[in-house]
Order: sequence, then C-alpha cells, then structure tokens
Amino acid sequence: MTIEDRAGPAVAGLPSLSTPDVSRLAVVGWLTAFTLFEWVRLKLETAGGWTTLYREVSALECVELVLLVRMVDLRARPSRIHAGEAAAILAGATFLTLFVTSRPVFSAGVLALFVLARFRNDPAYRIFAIGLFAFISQYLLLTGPFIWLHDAVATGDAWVTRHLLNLLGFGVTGSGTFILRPAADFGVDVIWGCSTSYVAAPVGAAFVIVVLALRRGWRRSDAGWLAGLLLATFGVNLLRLALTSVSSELHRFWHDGDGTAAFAVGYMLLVAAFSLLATREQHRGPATQ
Amino acid sequence: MTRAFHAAAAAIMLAAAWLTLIPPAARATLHDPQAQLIGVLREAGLTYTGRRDIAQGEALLTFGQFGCAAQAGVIYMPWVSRMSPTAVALIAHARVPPVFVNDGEVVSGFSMTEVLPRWAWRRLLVLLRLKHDEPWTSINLALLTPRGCALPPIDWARLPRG
Repeated sequence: MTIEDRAGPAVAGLPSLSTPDVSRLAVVGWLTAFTLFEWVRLKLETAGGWTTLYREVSALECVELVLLVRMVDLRARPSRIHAGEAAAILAGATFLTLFVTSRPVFSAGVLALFVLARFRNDPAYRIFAIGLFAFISQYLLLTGPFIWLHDAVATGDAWVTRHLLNLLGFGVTGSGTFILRPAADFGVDVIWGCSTSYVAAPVGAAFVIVVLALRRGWRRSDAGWLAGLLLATFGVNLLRLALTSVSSELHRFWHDGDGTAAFAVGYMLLVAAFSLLATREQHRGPATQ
Repeated sequence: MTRAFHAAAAAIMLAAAWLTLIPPAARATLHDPQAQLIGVLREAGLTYTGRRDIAQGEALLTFGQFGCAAQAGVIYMPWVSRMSPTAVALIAHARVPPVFVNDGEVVSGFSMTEVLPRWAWRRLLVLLRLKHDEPWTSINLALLTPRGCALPPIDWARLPRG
C-alpha cells in the first residue's frame, strides 16, 4: 500500500484512486530496487558467488546506497504517473533487468535522468537524482579517458612521495611513476589505480551523498569542505604510497595485506568527519536545493 | 493501478532473482572457449604463440603466420557489457583496423547499437529455452591484423558450434 492509498482520496489535491494512474513513489521505488538488484548481481558475477561477495562490496558503497534509498522521502508531496507511461517504464526496466543485465551504472543513470526530467520540482526527488548521479560518477571517473588523468596524477604522486622519502632519509630515486630504493633492492611503479585522483573519486562521491542525505541540500560552504576532504585524501594516499615504497615487507602488508583494510577504514573516517563538519553548520542558513 | 504495478514489478524481480540463482543450464563443451579459439585459428593456418592476461578475464592471445614476421593478436573479452581500458587502448592504437567478432559473427564494432541488440536477442532465446546457454553468447573478440600481412580466411562461425 502506498502513501497515497493510505491517505485516501480525502486528501486535498490527490486525484481519485479510480483514475488509471500509478503512484510516483511506487514507480521510482521499484526502479531503484531494480537498479540495486543489478548492482548486487554485477558484484556477484565479479566475486564469483555469495560466499565471496564481501570482497567486492565496500562498506562505504553500502552506506551510500542506504542513504540514497532514504533520500526518496515518503513524506514528499504525493503524485501520480499515467498508467501508460508507468507501463512503458516497467517494460524498459524489464528489458534491462532480464536481458541487458549487469549494467547498474547505466540503469542508475537512466533512473536519475528520468527522475530529474519528470519530478525536478519536488526537492526530495531532485536531491535523490543528484545523489544518484554522484553515486555513478565514482565509477565513471575510474574508466575511459579519466585513466589518463589518473596516470598524470600518479606521476605527481610519485614525485611528491620520492621527495618525502628522501626528506625522511630513506634514499630513493627514480623518475616518472617509479620510486626506487636501491638500499632495499626494491622499487614500485605508481600506476593509475594508486593515484590520489583514483581514491578521490569514491571518497568525494561518498561525501556528496552523505551531505545531501543529511542536509537535503547543498551549500556553497560544502564545496570548501569537499576541497578539504580531497586534500586530506591526498595526504593519506601519500602516507600509503610512502609505506608501500620502503621495502617489499611493508609493501606486502600495506598494499596486499591487512594494511589495506586500515586505509579503507581511514578513508571512511575521513568522509564521516568532513561530512559531519560540513552539516554541523546547517542551522546557520537554509540549504540550496 | 498502483497495486497492479507492484504485482508486475514484483513478478519481474522474482524472475530476475530466479534466473540469477538458477541460471539456464550451460551446454557441456569439450574445450574451454580459448582452446576452441586456438583450434579454429590453427585450422586457418595461424599458430598460437602466447597468451597475456589483461584484466577481469580479458586476455591477449598472439598467433604467428608462415611468411609473416609480425604476429597477429586476438583480444579475448568475456564480457559484452564492459571492456577494460587496456583493451580499449589496444584497439584504439591498432595500426590496421581490427576485425571484431561477436558470438562467431563479424561485426563492425563493439558499440552499444552493434552488439547489444544481438546479445539481448540471444539472451531472450536462452531465457525461452530456444538456445543453449554457452560461453560464446557473451564473448567478444578483436583480431589485430599484423601490418603488411594478409590473414587467411577464418571460419568464425565455427566458434559457437564448437
């Protein structure tokens, strides 16, 4: 039973339940459910099964998805979609869910565009669409032409890490993306997956989603907090690169072993801290929606 | 109408969950797809020389040809829906336009409009149990032709047939 059904036709402004219309909340809710299903199925394919699913799903992604679902506010002004349009939408969702499977980013993009195009006048739905765009952007930023950006940033990361390690007395050399330490007979190549920009994409997306969910809006000062978060991410990634470049033993622990979990938790704490700091100011003025 | 929408959407979700948990039975094949590919190319006169993993199951298989100094390469992509940046770069920087093969059929490229309708149609046939679910349904190949050499005719249609 939807909110409109519970409220009944006595609520002012609601169309009669006898009209051949479908609840907007039902349509958007099911489309969100289909997209989440696609996301889980893709992760299952990559993980190879339920028992190894945890290796592919990060806690941060789960938090973001929960917050995104919460953004579709049940108290939002109810509205309805014509039955024909709802049927066409469902047919499209069926095609994507049953036949063109494992494309959650595409499904989420289409859903966000649909919500933005049809319900942009409703703040709750508008925020949901923007949050959904932020969610898929973290995946899009890790592919295609952005790889060259990550390569360029990785070169800068390696340059800074070499200087940091030399300042600390570790005596490293190398050029480009290479950090070589002859004394330990060890060297690393900072590839695009280790660059600050590669880490910044999920961290930044998480910040945007958390702030949108907590505040139901975006303020100019949030951009400053986001910039601060990205700077902090650079610092933490620099520490990670330095730790993984000193010796093969440290590399095994911090790059391939349990040390990776410590950094994952560290990035989560960074997002939590900066989001709370940004939203703490919410009483000073209204948010822009 | 909302209740009807809920019922239809729930039915679709249940069907999708059922298909995820119990996928259609795969046809038993004697060889794995890459061995099949090597066999088909061997019959065309190309000798397998090596294999290099790219990412997420993608691989670059190299082949030699009598009278040709350069090697031919086949990028093996087990996912229709995505392609690694390395594979994209290999295809983009190929000196000779590659030959694209999708489920044993030569296509003009791996664009959405080219591959997706074919793949969706095959998935529909599999769902309706009119076609066996076999690995080639979702395998893409890009044949990188060596410069200055003409490749022999290859019977790509033999790939799905095994």
